Amino acid sequence: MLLAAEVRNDHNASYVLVVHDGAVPSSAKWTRIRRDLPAITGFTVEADRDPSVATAMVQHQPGLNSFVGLVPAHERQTWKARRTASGWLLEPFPEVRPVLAPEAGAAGVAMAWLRAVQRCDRAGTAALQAVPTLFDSTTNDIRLCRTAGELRVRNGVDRMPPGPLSGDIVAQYSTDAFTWARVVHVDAPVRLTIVLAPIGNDWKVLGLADPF
Amino acid sequence: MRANKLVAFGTAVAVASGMLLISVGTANASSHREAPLISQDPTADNTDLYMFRDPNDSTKVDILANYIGLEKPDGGPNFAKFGDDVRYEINIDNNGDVVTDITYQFRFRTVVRNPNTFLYNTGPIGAPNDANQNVQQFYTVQRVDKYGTHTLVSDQPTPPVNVGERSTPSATYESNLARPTIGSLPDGGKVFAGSRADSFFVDLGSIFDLLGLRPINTAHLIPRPTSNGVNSVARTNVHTIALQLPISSVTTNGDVPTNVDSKASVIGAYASASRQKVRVLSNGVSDDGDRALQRSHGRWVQVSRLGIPLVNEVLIPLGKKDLWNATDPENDAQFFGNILDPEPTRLLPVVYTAVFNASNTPPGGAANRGDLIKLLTGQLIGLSPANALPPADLLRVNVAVPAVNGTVANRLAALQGDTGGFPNGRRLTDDVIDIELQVLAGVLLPGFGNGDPANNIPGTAVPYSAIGDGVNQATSLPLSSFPYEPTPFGGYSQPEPGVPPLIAP
Repeated sequence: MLLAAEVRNDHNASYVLVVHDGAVPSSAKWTRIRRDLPAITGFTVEADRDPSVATAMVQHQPGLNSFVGLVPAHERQTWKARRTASGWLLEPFPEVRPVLAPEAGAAGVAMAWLRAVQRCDRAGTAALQAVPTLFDSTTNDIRLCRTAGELRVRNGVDRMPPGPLSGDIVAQYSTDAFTWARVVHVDAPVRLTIVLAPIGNDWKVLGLADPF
Repeated sequence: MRANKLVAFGTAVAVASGMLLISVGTANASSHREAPLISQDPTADNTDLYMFRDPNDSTKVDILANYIGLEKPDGGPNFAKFGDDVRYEINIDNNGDVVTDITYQFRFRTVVRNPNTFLYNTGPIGAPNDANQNVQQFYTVQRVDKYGTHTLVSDQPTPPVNVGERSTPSATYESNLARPTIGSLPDGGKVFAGSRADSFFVDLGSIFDLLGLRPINTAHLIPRPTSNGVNSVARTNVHTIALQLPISSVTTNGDVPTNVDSKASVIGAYASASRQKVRVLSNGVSDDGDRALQRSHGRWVQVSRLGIPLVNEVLIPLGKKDLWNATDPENDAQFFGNILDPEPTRLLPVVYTAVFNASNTPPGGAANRGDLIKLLTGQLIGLSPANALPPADLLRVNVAVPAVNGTVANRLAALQGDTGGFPNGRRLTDDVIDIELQVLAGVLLPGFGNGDPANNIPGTAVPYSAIGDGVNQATSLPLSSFPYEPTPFGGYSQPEPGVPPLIAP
């Protein structure tokens, strides 16, 4: 019922189903909290045999924006319930595990993007980017344009490390970015690091940095 | 006669020939570095909020929120800018329940074109997005309302800061650099974000030196020679977020109200800034492994807010200022004890012993400060007691009241019988410091000023109008059109202290 109300954008209806404790003392506060989260477009209840726990696969319109951060296409939400005098109510903050695109796909997207840059194919690169202007892209992508030679990408995909580049990304998307952003290391024709974000079922290029 | 203009302050309003007379409210003004935590975080510090019916288009209302106070125009190479990690908001209550109904949210992103130079610009900047502008900021605007979240503008450029005559020539700054960045909103409104000259004016140096107002220095417990006031924010810049909105897009009935005594004619606003919560991770993984993959809840924490000017600055005590900044107006009741027993009022008989004493200083408390209650409930801007709104620190404007252009001549707004200014919203020229000082001293109260600043403080030959900081206008006057806040001061034009500028502005 709570998720159904959220799909309708009816936060007043969902508020009556949660525990009204210090964290959520009023409908106004609840509404403010919910509006800071990705809008729910649909859901499937996965398990509700235990009356004290309910798990659902929740759907969103996937994307990345600086107000909400990464919006995965799907995320598994586990809601705990508490028995009260008026019946079962849900704790206001579920455990949320985003379902991200398979990590192995990141390197392939990075390669495709690099080839498009080598061709100086602006439309081709834009289609593979998470944002129109990449983070710290102003010199690196220019360096690559019209470069010759075979592309060499190191095996493996890493988490985004702390540093000057991640500082800009975290400023936009919060420290959550450390959990979902991945990096691919390029050795040739120039050395650089590509940062990617999981948008829906794909990876998209988010930024570039000097190698580290 | 002023006493007649201010008839029945508190009772609201008389309508005659379409002109409304409002009595004044109390108030507070501006909040540059007003609380301990936010004073260490200027990028998120909301310094002033202005809201007024547009003087050029009666179907529009303008809301201007200033951040980052006391910017030195020559503060390069890293000139002041909006925070990439801050969410700026303008919040509107349009049905009088003190709960936000509409929020305009702003997020900024800085792009550095060339990291291999120390310069903000590598040549003259001729237009927004000029290749010579090395550091640029862009922003996105969202509107959140009962229908959901709507992106209004994306990747909108801000103008460059006013670096100096070679980089951003004064003569063409507004026409070539600032105006082209004004964005259009889908509903017919406009938006602007960028550097501006601070329109606020105040003698901070005197007020915070034991409330020693220079024009009445000789009456102070520790006397000094009298002098004119000194504008502490003169020739400083701020960063402004400005909205020009169709009134019908923000009123609860979706119209342009005409009934002054109606809750539906009043919109209340506060500006705020929020920062992101931080999760501490080690190499991208939390101590308990994949828990780091969880998405965090409640990403934003409000760290600054501003409605009625100076409430947090001078009415909220140090120990509560940070809490106040983090609180939403719907929970303001916890601060009413401080607001209705204003510390500045209690200080008057302490520091101005030659003028104020126990009998001519208004006592605090709800029973004695009906003027402040009327301010907080909208009764000073046209609402009758029957239509009074719940009390809150919201800057409220009655959009059924015709606009009155703000000038230095009507800087005292409602204290002069001018219904178009503070506390009916706030114009850039409204002298909220003098208005509030006089109100806190009791100018509106029966048995004290009786609503007329020309009246003497009881038992003295000193009129209430003498209470002021002696600063009556900002360095630059407002522009004649949106975004109204003046052109920012240029870095190159900054003089040595005490020396007039060579080039204006």
